[in-house]
Amino acid sequence: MNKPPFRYYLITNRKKCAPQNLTEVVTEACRNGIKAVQVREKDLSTKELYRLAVKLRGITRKTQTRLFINDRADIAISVDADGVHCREKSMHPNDIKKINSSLLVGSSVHSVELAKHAEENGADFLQFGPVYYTSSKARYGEPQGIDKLRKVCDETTIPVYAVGGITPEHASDCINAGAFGVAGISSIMGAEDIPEKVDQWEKVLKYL
Amino acid sequence: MSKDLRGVYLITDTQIQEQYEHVELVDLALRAGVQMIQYRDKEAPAREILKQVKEISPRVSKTESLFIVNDRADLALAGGADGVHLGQDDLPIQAARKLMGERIVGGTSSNLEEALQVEEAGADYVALGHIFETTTKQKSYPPRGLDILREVADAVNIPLVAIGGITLENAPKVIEAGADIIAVSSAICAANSPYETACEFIDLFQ
Repeated sequence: MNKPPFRYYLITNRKKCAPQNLTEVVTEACRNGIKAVQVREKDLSTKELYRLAVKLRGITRKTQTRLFINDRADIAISVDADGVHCREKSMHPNDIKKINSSLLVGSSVHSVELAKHAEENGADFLQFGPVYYTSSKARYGEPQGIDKLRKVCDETTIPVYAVGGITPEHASDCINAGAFGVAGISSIMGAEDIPEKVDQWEKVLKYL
Repeated sequence: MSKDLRGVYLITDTQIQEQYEHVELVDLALRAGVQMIQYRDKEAPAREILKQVKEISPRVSKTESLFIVNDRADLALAGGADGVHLGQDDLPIQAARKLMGERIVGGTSSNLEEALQVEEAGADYVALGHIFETTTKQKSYPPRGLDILREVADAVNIPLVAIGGITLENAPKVIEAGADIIAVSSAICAANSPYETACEFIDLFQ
């Protein structure tokens, strides 16, 4: 498939938005140019997640920002999202496309083997990390590093988004290693000045 | 879904007992002739659930029974099940209906108001529970009892499923109170012989 039309992939975490709330942060990020948002709020009930997804669909539609739902294809289809983002234990991308072939499907992977596996099973793009140290993934051990990112990019043919502790300052290292784009939570969710942060991302990635 | 649907609805459970896997319980229940089977596993990741749903669906399609997946409409669709069952904290019935089309969408209620909402939203059946004390699921409210069951049975026009704490002893009263379908989990899954117990439940409808 063609490259996804976005290079920064914003992942939500409503707990990192204070003092703002999640819908305010996503609204501001989209208005300032963010082109893809993945809703990832693992502790919500299905009903709460559905309601949040409906709200975020309304917000993202205004700016033609792509909306992805983590793990739940049923919610993605129900709210007319653009795609689903799979965890390593989610349904396989091909199973999701069997239900609705127009969905874009991304897969989070944590090794070269699983990256290849996800591609074989129909993923349109990959998210690989954590490349650098990040508090949200610290419990999984050492970061994967740039060399492993490069290996994943070399051994797969679909776009790879690098994730995990990436700041605009070292984003170019990920791009040079072969990443198509960057995914992140804290950089924007926790930004004091969202427009400025989005602007930094746009400069380093050329386009959002 | 036909309004005269009547019988036993087995909810497979591998938490309360370790002797049988989901698919083994399904085979025993199909042999006994239960009307409906629901796959429920709140812990397993989606990929694992889908694998099992794909294994179970073709077994059930060979019979007159119906196969329902708890909570996840996407897994029901991808796995070839006949429908999805939704709790009050799951996907809204209307949203699930759009996804499921002609397939079955069932909903849980705990009182008359919720039961009527589930019917109004377009569900194919409504479940009311828990009727009696149950250990299978943690509950935040007291058992509904036979009086509320009777009240709901009089008010709704879609098949009514009674669920929660139903045993061979109290099931006749539940059926008499107006339940079209009795949903059973631990009474069958954790029985000495799930097959024979399922047969005994089914006989109550003869």
